[in-house]
Amino acid sequence: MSLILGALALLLSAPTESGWTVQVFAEPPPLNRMHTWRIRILDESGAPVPEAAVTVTGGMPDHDHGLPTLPQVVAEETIAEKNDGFYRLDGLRFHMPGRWEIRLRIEAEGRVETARLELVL
Amino acid sequence: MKARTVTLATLAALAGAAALALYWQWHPTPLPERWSPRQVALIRSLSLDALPPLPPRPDNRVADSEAAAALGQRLFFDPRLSADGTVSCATCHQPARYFSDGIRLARGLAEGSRHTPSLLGAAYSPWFYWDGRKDSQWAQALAPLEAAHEQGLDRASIVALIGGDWVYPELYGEVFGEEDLRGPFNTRSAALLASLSTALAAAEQQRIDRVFSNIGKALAAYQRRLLPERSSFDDYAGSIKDDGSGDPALLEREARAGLKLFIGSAQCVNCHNGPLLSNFEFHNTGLPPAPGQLPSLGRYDGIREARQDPFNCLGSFSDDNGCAELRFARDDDPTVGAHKTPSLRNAAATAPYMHAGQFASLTEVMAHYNAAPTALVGHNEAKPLGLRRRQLRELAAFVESLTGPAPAP
Repeated sequence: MSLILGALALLLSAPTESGWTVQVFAEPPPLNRMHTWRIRILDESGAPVPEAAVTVTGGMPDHDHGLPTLPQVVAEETIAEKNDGFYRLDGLRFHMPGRWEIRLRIEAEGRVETARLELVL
Repeated sequence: MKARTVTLATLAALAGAAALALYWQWHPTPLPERWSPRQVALIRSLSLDALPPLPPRPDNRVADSEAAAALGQRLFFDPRLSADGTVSCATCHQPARYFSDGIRLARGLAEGSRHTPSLLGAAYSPWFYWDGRKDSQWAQALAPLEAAHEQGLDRASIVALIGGDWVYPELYGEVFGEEDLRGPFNTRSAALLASLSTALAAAEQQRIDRVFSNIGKALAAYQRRLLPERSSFDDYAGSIKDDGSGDPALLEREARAGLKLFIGSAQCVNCHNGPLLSNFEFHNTGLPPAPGQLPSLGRYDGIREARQDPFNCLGSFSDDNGCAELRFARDDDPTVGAHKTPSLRNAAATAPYMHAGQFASLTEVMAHYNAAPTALVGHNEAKPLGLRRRQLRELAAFVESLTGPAPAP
């Protein structure tokens, strides 16, 4: 596992409506710099969810504005095995200090799940 | 007698009310004995001590080359790179004025429609121009050379000038190799170019564009080294200890009060953050258009132009194809009427303000943000602040404390 995750620690984790889990592995997010998160999606039994179509929205709820960029999520094939639920969330940039919210819409296995991740910069 | 008493009482009451109103407008913002941990973190984040190394520019392989910077510096100050031989980059970006020009609208060969921004620290921005229509400093550097109201040359003439010069071929050759300069034709004759076969003309055009893009890369290698110097604010920020105490002798009270507002209720730090006091992002702040101009669509147009630019990060003259900024950029409604947050470093010494020089003074800027008027196009992200007149002056005093020495020419 540590090989797969490299040096990245678990930064955030959030449940979806029906008990799936979204984990974020990343450095603490920098201000004003484009960066990437590694995320993992697990179902209610803790099994990885491969081949999900994930879309990203979000913003600063206190300021009533969205993200400054349009991040995208692509599945990641890891060294250990393919399709073990890892994805790369590319194109994130946080341009203000304060409370941010990232919302993921996950379409997989014939259902739609949503997760809300919160962080403070 | 009774009437006179009433009049006197009324006058006294009025005078009292006026005194109270004056006091209300002008009494100074109270300062904490010590800054809170959150305030300490924010203050330190604004200090030049927190400035990271220059961001790598994989799209410009010579960005950190000394030789490229030397070539770029020479090009930057060379007025021969203009249609009438009088306008260089430094005409508008004057070192003594922090690489800006002190006038409302830029003036090269003619007056333009945008205010000249300072170049100090610009290399930290992922986007260039007020509307972000260029995604690199080198692509930006090419545009004024050919813009009719700026330097007004064309790239074929510029390449011919460089190739035929006494000094440039050696400087250029050291960085990029000389073979492109010799070229098969090295001509500025449009007639000769037109007479070439399609394949030959395409090869010649490719050569010209390659040398032209390299000129931009050399200019960027020079300009990216232009950084702001320390100011009294940085010295004060450096004196703040973990317990929140700092040396008040390093920053006048008015500026410290402004700092408190800046990172607090005035919300300036939302956009003016980091050591350059800019997030280099695009925001609609309900600015009035310049006299005689239509309201600018700003970033909405800028991102579309950036995507079309043959010299962008994804183009064939770029040395990189990662280009995350370009690939993940927004182009939808919030970009309408949005312009890039400028750095506030040396802002007090680089009036006027905003993309079209709409405001002559910091006082006008503060009054605008305090009112946060409805935007003419798009939506004003800022909300009215309801700050008192003294507080607006304190904010201006803080901005003044960000002024460092002007660069040596």
